Amino acid sequence: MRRRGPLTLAFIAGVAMIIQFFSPHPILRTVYTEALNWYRIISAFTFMLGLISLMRSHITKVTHKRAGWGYSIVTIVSFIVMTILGFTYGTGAGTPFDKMYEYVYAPLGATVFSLLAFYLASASFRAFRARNIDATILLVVAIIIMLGRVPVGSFIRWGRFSLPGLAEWIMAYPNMAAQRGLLIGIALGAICMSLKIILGIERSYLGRGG
Amino acid sequence: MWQKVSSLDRRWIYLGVAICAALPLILEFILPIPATPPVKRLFDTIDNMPPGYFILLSMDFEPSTMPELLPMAYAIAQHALSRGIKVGFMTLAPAGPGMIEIVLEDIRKAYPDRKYGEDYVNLGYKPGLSAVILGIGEDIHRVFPRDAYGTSLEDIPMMREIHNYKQIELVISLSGAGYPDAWILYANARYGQAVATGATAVMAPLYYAYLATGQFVGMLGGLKGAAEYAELVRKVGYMRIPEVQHRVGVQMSSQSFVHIYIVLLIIVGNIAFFFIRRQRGR
Repeated sequence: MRRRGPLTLAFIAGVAMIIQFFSPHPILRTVYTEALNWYRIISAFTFMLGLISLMRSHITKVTHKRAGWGYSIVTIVSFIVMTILGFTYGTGAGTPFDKMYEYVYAPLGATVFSLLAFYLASASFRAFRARNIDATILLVVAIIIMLGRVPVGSFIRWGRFSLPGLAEWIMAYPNMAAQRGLLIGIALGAICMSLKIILGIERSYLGRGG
Repeated sequence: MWQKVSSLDRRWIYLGVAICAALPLILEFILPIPATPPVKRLFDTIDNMPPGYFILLSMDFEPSTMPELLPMAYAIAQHALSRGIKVGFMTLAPAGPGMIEIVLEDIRKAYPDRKYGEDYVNLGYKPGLSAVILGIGEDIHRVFPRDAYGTSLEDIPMMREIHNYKQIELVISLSGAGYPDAWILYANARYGQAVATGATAVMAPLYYAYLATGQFVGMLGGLKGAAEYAELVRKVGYMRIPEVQHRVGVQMSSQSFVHIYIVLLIIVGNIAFFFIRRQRGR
């Protein structure tokens, strides 16, 4: 029963959702809208699960003084401070929570993301080598895109052709064709996986013993 | 010598990036930014929309991608509000509400003639990604019973006539993750909703497939897309927060310099690679 229950539930829910997609019957519409409500409520509860898991992991790290435990203290303190500020003063515009978000969290997030530029430059210098024909094609296309996607590229022209135009053509045709292939592959994979879950073939979501 | 070049200390490379990024920001140097077709398509869609129509601006991003995506939100919001188009702000990203507040703070100052609840509304954040997008197709009032400040949607004048995608002219998802895919899958494919996106430069190549099929009516790709859109908005005289447009222009110059620097690094790295390989061959 421990295994059969969730499998039966997944089968009924999956089949019901497929049937409602093809039928405008009022009962099925109600089932559909209720299912959407349930989904949103369950999604909200997953945040609690995430928070508990995050705190447990960092508290364990601090108590055992594992590598990088100092960073875990920062995470725990930040979490507690933001939670207290949020619950005490609210989260609206102008509140301490909002100020912390705008003047601490937002610049920190942007800074960490910006560091990518430094790593990218270093990695490009060391790894981008024209070792063979394939690597050379990749290299040339990368240079065209890099220069064609910034304003300075618009100064590079040959008659009717411009570097941004060439970059846009690469994005709109060869890139698009490759992306389309990937998307079709992903979609087919998702359909197969969904069918396997509905039919009870794929059981990894049940965890251990599934 | 080439061996030395090839094993250049990464700190020198970092210093070069820092100088290239900082110089245009200090000198406030702006290069011309012509609009590309995907940006022009989104601009034209909003520009040809009659006043009074409603668009949903879903700011599905968090501070990490803010430098690229926040200027897009500013440019689109200014374009729409200046044309009398009603804007609904929402987010599917947990840390997204703060991003909306940053934009709205400036919008309130720049548009004293536009009233909250009549011309724009902040619906805030709702968890559940696909369930939220599908739920809006059934009844937006059930998904967002209240706005971000706790006011019932029934009490917000502009939302009384908006119930589902039939009354929403366009959805624009600004994101550095897979949120625009979800809008395509659940809003466009299921309800035929017109969708556009503003994506980070890393994500933009993925969405050309949807642009080609017309599933995305337009797209802003990275900071360049934001700069192009801001420039188009400025040209038609709708730019009421000019410092944003100026900042994006300067940042694009900074990006130009860094890109040139990286291209030079790649060229130098390859020259060193060939000489070392030739020496080893001998």
